[in-house]
Amino acid sequence: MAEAASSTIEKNNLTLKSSYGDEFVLEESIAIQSVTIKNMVEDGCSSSVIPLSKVDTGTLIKVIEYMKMHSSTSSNEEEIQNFDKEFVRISIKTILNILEAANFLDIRSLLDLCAEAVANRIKNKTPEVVRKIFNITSDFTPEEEAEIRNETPWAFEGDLDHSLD
Amino acid sequence: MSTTAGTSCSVFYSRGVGQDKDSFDAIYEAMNGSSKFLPGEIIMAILLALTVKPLLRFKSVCRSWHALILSLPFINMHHDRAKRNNLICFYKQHVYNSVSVCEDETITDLLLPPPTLPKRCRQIVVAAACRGMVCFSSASCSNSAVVWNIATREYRIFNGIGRGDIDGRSYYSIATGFTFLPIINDYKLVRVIIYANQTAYIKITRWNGDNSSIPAKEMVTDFPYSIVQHGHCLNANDAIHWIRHDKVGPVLSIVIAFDMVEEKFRQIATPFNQEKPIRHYHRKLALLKESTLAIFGSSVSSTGYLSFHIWALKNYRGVSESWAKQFTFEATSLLCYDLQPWGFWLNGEVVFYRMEETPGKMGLYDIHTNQIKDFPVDIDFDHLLHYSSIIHYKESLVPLPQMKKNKMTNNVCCNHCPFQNDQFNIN
Repeated sequence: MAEAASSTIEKNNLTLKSSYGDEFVLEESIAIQSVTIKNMVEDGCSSSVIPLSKVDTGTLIKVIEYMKMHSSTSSNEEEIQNFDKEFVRISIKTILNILEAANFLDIRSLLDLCAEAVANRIKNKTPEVVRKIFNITSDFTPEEEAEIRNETPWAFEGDLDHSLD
Repeated sequence: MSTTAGTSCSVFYSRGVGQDKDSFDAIYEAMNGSSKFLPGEIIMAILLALTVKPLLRFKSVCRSWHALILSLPFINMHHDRAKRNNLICFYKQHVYNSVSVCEDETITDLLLPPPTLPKRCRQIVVAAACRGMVCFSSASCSNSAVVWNIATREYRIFNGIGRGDIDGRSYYSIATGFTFLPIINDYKLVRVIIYANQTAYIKITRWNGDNSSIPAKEMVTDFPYSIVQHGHCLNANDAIHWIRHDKVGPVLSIVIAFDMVEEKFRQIATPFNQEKPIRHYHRKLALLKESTLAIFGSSVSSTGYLSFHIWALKNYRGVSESWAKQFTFEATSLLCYDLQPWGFWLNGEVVFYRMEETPGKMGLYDIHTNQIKDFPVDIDFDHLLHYSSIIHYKESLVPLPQMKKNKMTNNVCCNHCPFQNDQFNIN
């Protein structure tokens, strides 16, 4: 899907470089779904390679896959919907990485898709598991936590999911 | 890096009413540091995509999440993005029931707000929905109402929002309006009591989203219209609407609206040109989409079947030209002779009630595909159809007002009030 950069970069192509140093050539019309890249192009600072120092290669491949699908004129709405559904069938950890990249690159639709996907995956989880997923340390005392539980005990009942993914 | 893109902070303040910028800044900053690897705007985006129940659970994750989930700017943004639902309330064997159907087609049996549990029919109706809260009123008590946040299951019983019988004169009809005025961050609960001598008493109970109470306002005004007694009124566009159906005399139907912002009545001519409706129950107000008031009407088509028409209100100038015809469909396309239009489903389908069967049946009619769909909830509408309601709402975390004892509430209302129950004291 993504090719290594060659010496003959055409005028309407951009090169994105992952944090591992891998370079990907992408048509400008596809890449400007990212508002961050669009601004760079408009400011005239896109002639060289665009370094994405916080986006690793695996994540960048996913983001490019997403941008290619969403700028394709040959796919209809249903195909895009199915693509989106499949796209987020990955580990929560991977979605969170894509979320960070989408946030940095400012690709609103990808951010919304991934945020919704994470929300769907965590909605039945316990607060303990959510803390682990987001690497959060609780700063409540056990008494305070019990008090919050007692405000709406029904929100803590039912078949809660204890898995990390 | 995290400062460049994504959910920019300015968005929060544009809708952030009632909470100053600095305090939300502090909450946001704290949240930004809650996770060791994720920036705050991503956590915010994820939390905004959750429904109310998991958010209530995740309040216990850490202090910064707790503060965020309870903050007014977050609550407002969350409500703006929430999915749409239909609440259906109905009596079954004299017990009041409620079911919610979401636009993603999930069906949830709701726990009823406790005050509507009495076994005897208490003529309870859903009066209005506003920001995740639904207001119940009862035709048997003019002085009380219950406001219930469906998703958080919080409720308040309001006694003293109207008045009881005056000088032995009983009321003819009551109506309840409930709305939110975002600019001033105020909620208004409006009770209109209509008397047979063509006067109306109006009491406006208000509270602020910041939880300060505001003195109620009362007025008495002329009300020279005869409306249907059980007063099927409709809340839309910050106004309570009624249709006047005169059963005698050559008077055209008109719509009466009480504007809850300006606190006055308006009249709107209807688009009907025949003086008397074919069947008065074919003329009905309903909410089409979020803020479009629509009116149903009927005529006899050239084939001898009934045709139903739907007009939408374009403006409040009050003339019959204020309405634009949206659709017309024949009763033959519904494979029945007569039906009662009820309103609209989530994607604009017409909700109808078949009159000719016993027990009658609810159905959905898709105007665009000309197809009939089953009503998604199997409910028995044979009794007390009159008090059944279907209303659109969105889930919200909006808190209900804190009430001081013996001020906005007291436990003494009247013998007929269904909303008083010693088991359920307000905190």
